[in-house]
Formats: sequence, structure tokens, C-alpha cells
Amino acid sequence: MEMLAIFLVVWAFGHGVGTGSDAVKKDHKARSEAMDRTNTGAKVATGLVTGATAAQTFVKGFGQGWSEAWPVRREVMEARREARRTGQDPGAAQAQVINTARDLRGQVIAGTVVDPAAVPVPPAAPAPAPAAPPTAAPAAPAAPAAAAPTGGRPPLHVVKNPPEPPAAPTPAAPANPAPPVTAPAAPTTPPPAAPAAAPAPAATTGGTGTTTPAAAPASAPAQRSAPMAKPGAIEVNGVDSLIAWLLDAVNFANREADDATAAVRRIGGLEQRLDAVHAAALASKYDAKTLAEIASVREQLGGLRKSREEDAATGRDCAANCNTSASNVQKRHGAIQEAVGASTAPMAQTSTYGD
Amino acid sequence: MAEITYAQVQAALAKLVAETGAEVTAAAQRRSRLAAKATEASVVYDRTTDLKFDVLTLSDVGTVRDRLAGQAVSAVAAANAANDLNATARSAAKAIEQRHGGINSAVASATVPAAHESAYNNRL
Repeated sequence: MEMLAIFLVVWAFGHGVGTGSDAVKKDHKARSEAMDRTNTGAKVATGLVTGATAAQTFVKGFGQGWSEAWPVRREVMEARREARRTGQDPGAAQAQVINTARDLRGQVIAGTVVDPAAVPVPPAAPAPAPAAPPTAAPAAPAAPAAAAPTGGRPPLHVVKNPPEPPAAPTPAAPANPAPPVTAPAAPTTPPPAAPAAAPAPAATTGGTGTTTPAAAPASAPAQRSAPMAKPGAIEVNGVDSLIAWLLDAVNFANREADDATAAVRRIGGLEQRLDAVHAAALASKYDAKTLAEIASVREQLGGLRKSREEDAATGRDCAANCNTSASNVQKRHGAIQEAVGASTAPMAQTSTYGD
Repeated sequence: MAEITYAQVQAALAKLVAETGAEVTAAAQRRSRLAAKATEASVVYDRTTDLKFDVLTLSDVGTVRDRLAGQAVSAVAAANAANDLNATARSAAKAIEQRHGGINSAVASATVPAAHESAYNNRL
């Protein structure tokens, strides 16, 4: 009896499994027949292309974001490190760098800045404040010698906002006060075209104001041998840097003299044209006021030309002075500098030597 | 035929205004450059004083500083002269237009050629 019952249960279970399996097979077969198997390759290819496009867009966006964000982040890190070193607030330095980058981005979006390279790299982080009193800050370097005590002067490379120039030359006074400058109004006309290439300057007229106007020795460096550095780019802290600065000043003065010479040529051309206009207007019997106005413009042109001629002459003299000064420094201190450089030990107190 | 027409005078003055405006811009830029260089020279002089260079070297650097300062002052003068020149050229062009522009327009729009100028200048 028991055997019969077990047989019935096994039979019922096997029959159920077989019936279920048949039903599943039948259903699967019906689904397979109903499935659309056309263009399978195209469908797979479309999926692959879509996935590849999405991946490329993601990678490109990631790279672009990285290239824009990382330089700013690096500047922020440098600014924070610099601020921490100088005892300033790192948060303020970070905010300044971020604001600068944001401003640049806004300018590019607005179209006021054409160079897109300016976006990712903002201007340098705030310069570290020198260990000097606030009165010697670079914001007021018009009379640095008068305002800053000895040793509290800011380094040269922080001179960024050129103040008004010192007053007229007074060799007796080491510090020049600011002159009574009457700044010209902002120009309303478009900037000038590139000035015509000036001819090579003639030989300098000689250092008329130098205390030792001896001829430059043969070992003196040649003039205009290096490109002109930006103002304040050379920090004078020794003989070598002083000579380098003086030679840079030679380049500067020569370029200014060339600029003035080119301006003299341009203004001379304007004078000739205006002379012709005045003569023709006179022949055409224009009224006296009109002729006087043209003559007044002509006269002012002559004044400007004379001013630029003087500029050219003073530029040549300044270049000669700078060159002579560089030669003199080399002549006086070059040998000592070379000896110190050749020695294996640093120089002791100056008073130790030359006894 | 006149030696120069009104339109030619105005064209010449307009060109002069543009070119003197360019001189104004160039002079202003030069003024800024020289001001920066003069300030830099003053700082360099102080630095050489701190480094206790000899008197002759200090005098040399001081001369350079004074030269650059003089150039900066003359650059300011040149910039002002260029500004004045540009303003004079503008005012001259405007005044000549006020004086002769109306006559030019009337002659140009008349249906007949204008008579001799004395016919108009001889007023009652």
C-alpha cells in the first residue's frame, strides 16, 4: 500500500513536470516565431554607435572641464600657500583668484577679451606682501626714497601700477617728488597704425651728464644686445643685476629715441600737407579767420615736432649715459665680482680687504 | 576753378584730426612707459644706496635716474601738446564748417551755377 502511494506521488510529480515543460517550450516557440529578426546587425550597430558617441561626449567634456578648472585650482593653491607663508588670509587670496578667473571668463563671454587663452590662467596670484611698512607699499612708489626707510623698500618686481614720474632732474636730491603732471585726456580716435620702422640710431652723442664720461672699455657689453625687459623685471641686488638694468635702460632709451624720431617724420609729413592746404586756401581767397585757423594748427604741429625732436635728443643722451654708467660699474666693480665668483668662500666684511 | 575746394579743405582737416588723434594715443602710451621707467630708476638708485656702492657709481646711477625723470617730464609735455593739437584741429574743422558749410550746401543744391563771389559779398 505504501509502495502504491509512493508510485502515485512520483507519477503525479513527473507528469506535472513534463506538462509544465511542454507548456514552456510551446510558449517560447510562439514568442520566437513572433520576434522580428530583420536588420539585427543594423540594430546592434546603432546601439554601439550611440554608446560610443555618449562615451566620447563624456570624455571630451571631462577633459575640457579639467583643462579649465585645473589651472585655476592650481593658482588658488599657490595663492593660499603664498598667503599662508606671508601671514595673510588664505580665504581672501583664494577668493581673489577665483573672482579674477570669473571676471576673465565673463569678459571672454562678453567679447571684450579676444584671447581665449586668458580664461584658464588668471593673472598671477597676489604678490606676497614684503616685510615692509604699509607706507612702502608699491601703491605709492612716486617718492620711494622719501616714503620708505632704509631696508623697508619693496622689491622691484612688484612695481605694477606706474605712478607719475619724478620731478625734473635735481642731482643733489636723491628722491624726486612727483611733478605737476597734467595728464592728457583719453584719446577719442582709434590707436595709431604701427609706426614706420625707425632707422638705426646714430652713434650716441656722449654722456654729457655722467660724472666719469670716460670712453667705454673694449670689454663693455654692446648696446641693444638683449630684448628690453618689462619695467621692474630686473631686481637690482648686486653688481651683475645693476649692469643688466643699466643695459636694459640703454635699450629702453634707444627705443624711445627711435619712437620720437619716427614721430618727427610723421609730423613733418603732416606739416607739409597742411602747408599745401594753407597755400591753396589762400589762393582760393578764403576768409582771414579760416586762414588763421589753418595757420594755428600748422603752428601747433611745429611745436609738437620740436618737442619730439628734443625727446629724440634726450633719448640718445640718456642711452649714452646708461651705457657709460654700465661701463663704469663694470670697470670699478667687475674685477671684485669676478674674484668673489672665483673664490670658494663668500666675501667677508668689505673692511677686511684692501688694507 | 579754385585752388582748393571746401570739400577738399574739410577732407584734409578730417584726416589731420584722425592722424593727430593717433599721435595723442601714442604720446599717452609713451608717457606711461616713461613714468614707469622713471619710477623704476628711482627705486634702483635707492637700492644701490642700500648696497653701499661707491660715490661715483651712485652718481652715475643718479644721473641715469635724473635723465629718465627728465624724459618722463618731457613726455608729459609732448602728450599735452599732442592733445592740444588734436583739439585745435577739431575746432578748426568745426569752425570752417560753420562758416562755409552752409554756402557750400546752397551752391551745390542751386539749379544754376553760382555767380561771381562779389555778387554775393557786396551787401547793401
